[in-house]
Amino acid sequence: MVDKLANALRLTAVDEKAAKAGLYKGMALTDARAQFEKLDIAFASPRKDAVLLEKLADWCDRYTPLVALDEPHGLILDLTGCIHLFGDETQLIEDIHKRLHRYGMIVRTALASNPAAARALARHSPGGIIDRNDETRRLYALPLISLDIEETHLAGLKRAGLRSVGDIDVLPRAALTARFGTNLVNRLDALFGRQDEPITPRRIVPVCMVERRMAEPLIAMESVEHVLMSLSDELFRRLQQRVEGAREIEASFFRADGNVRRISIQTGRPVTETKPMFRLLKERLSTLSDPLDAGYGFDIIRLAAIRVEQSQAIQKSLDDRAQETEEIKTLVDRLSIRLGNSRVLRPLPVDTHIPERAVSLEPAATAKQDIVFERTPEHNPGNPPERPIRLFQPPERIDATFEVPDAAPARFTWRRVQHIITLAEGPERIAPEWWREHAGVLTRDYYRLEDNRGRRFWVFREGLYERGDPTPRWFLHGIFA
Amino acid sequence: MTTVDLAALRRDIASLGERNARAAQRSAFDFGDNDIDRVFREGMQRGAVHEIFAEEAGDAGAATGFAIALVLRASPDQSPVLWLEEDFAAQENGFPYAPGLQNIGLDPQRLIIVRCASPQDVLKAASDSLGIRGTGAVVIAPRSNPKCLDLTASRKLLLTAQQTDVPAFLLRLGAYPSENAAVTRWLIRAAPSQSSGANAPGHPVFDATLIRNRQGMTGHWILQWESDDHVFRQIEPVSGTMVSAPSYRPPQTRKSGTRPY
Repeated sequence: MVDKLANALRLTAVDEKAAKAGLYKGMALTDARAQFEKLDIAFASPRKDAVLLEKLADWCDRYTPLVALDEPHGLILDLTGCIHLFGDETQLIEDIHKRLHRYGMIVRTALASNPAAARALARHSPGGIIDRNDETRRLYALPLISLDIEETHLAGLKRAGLRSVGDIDVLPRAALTARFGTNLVNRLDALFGRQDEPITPRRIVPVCMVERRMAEPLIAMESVEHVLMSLSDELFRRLQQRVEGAREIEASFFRADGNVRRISIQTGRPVTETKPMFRLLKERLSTLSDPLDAGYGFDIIRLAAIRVEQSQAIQKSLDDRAQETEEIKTLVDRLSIRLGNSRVLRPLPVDTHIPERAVSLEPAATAKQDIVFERTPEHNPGNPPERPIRLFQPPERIDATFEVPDAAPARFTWRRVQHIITLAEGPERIAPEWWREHAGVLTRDYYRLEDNRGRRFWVFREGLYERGDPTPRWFLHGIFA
Repeated sequence: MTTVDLAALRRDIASLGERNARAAQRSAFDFGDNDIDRVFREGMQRGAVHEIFAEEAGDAGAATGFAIALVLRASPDQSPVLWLEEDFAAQENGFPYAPGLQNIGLDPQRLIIVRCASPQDVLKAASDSLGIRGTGAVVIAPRSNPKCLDLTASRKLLLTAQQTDVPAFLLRLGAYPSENAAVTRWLIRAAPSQSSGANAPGHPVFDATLIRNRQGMTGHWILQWESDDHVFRQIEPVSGTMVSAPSYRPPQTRKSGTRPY
């Protein structure tokens, strides 16, 4: 592997054979070429490395939901409470090695009592499963570089004749801090578990999770559905004990060849039963643009509740009204899943005078339930409508002619049709919100117009007439009933 | 000797009556105007498909307003109104604007707008929405004349609407009538309003022609929508403006696929 570093091509990674031949990381490519004429080189691609690491991390989800990236080449897994699923620690580690070997990976692992120790031991020692009682000894034997401190400090420590982690851990703290800053001491503390250093899992940790590991990978979709069904029964049984319902559920399909597919569904209200959830999940599966492909079969299927909400105690005797409301929520969920959240919308009022901003269309599945539209302050009962029932966004340019300047147009042409105005009201002046707009947004004078055929329009003139704009621009913004 | 719990029986009978009353109340609606209501002796069928055409592109606002007015007549409560349209509808005719809808009487809170990528999606969403008893009304607005909206599809919608007693309004903008299962078919044009004073446009006025009515007669009316009372009121055509007889000829049975024009 080579990459351009500091204007020279240098080796960024070497394989086992090259390492034995005396090539090392950081060596200039020209030097390496001088030694070995036939050198297999490949250009490094940190981006591709990152993608691969992400994929691997996805794959590692099969062991634990708590997977953190340790870029550029590492992954940290929190296996607390997961080991029994694989027998014991040795079996689990063996499983990781065996499977990753099959994909052509060379891995080094270390299982230790805290993430920092495991990381250091995996990188700078043969790794393995570290016995609790042996951990301190193993850590003491690590070279100083495993502390991950600045070059200058490292050089300083080396000059002082210190070679290993053990050498400095026995030194007085105060002196170390005074000379090398708190960073070094913190690192030491993390390494020995004296200071809790939590990992940051890359995915949200599910609130509740159930999974099924298959001895034989499942290929038939019917059996996959069957497993999903029984998993969801189990999931809801657990949620029910906590009087919770799921707002977001994620199904993960781990394929035997390492591919992981995740499908998540969100609902507008807490779901507490298998049946509605399963219907949504099936809806989603059938509308995937890239359908779920069993390939060589799935060996793990997992169902996790990502987001939960307190559910009302299950009512058995719902009255008609409540039942109808429930049905509507189910309908919204179903449509949102099939068409996408952004296609099932509810209008929400926004406190602004700018007509196109006065309403925002929000996904109905996630929108707040009780929204109240205030009557527009200008609109009195008995008055004709002040606002159009259909609004064009953006407003459409029209050609208007007017007899008196600074008045409603006498006629205008919109979409090649001329409208001769018989009734007009206005102007209603709507000023831009100066605290939000950038300069150049103009005041609008709105008119309600009716043409000789009874069609009613909402048009505006841009800019203030008084400012003396010789060619005011007119727009049609909406149509009335 | 058997004893009869008279009180319980009475309660049973009363509850039967209540249920019937509720069903009867839900199964039809009227216009709130005597003249037009005479055409529908039984009222407009609630659980049915009603079709509303804009006569010309420029009548989109009027047709939309008429559809909303019928929604308000058919389900005056707070039940949700599903508005199903295609993606490009907003660009062609504008999107349903909540403050304006509120001005003519529809609480925007009731509105659920569903945007679909294809007319097939619109029909599927329509069928789902009609299948739910809690739905107040469904406004189905596919673009122009999609192939999938044929006799079979519309009949399916009608059956679903009849089962759940949920009204469906097919809002047809930029479309021409073709054969389908709609119970009534309306051709809507904008009509001059009665000025609210100072030369200002007044309340919505529709030139409504009933061109098909499975339950009886057809007719032609000039109707004003009273936004506050939620009733239609027949008005005299505003003088000085010509109101021509509808130029529309009802479609005869044609082979599907031939344009009636």
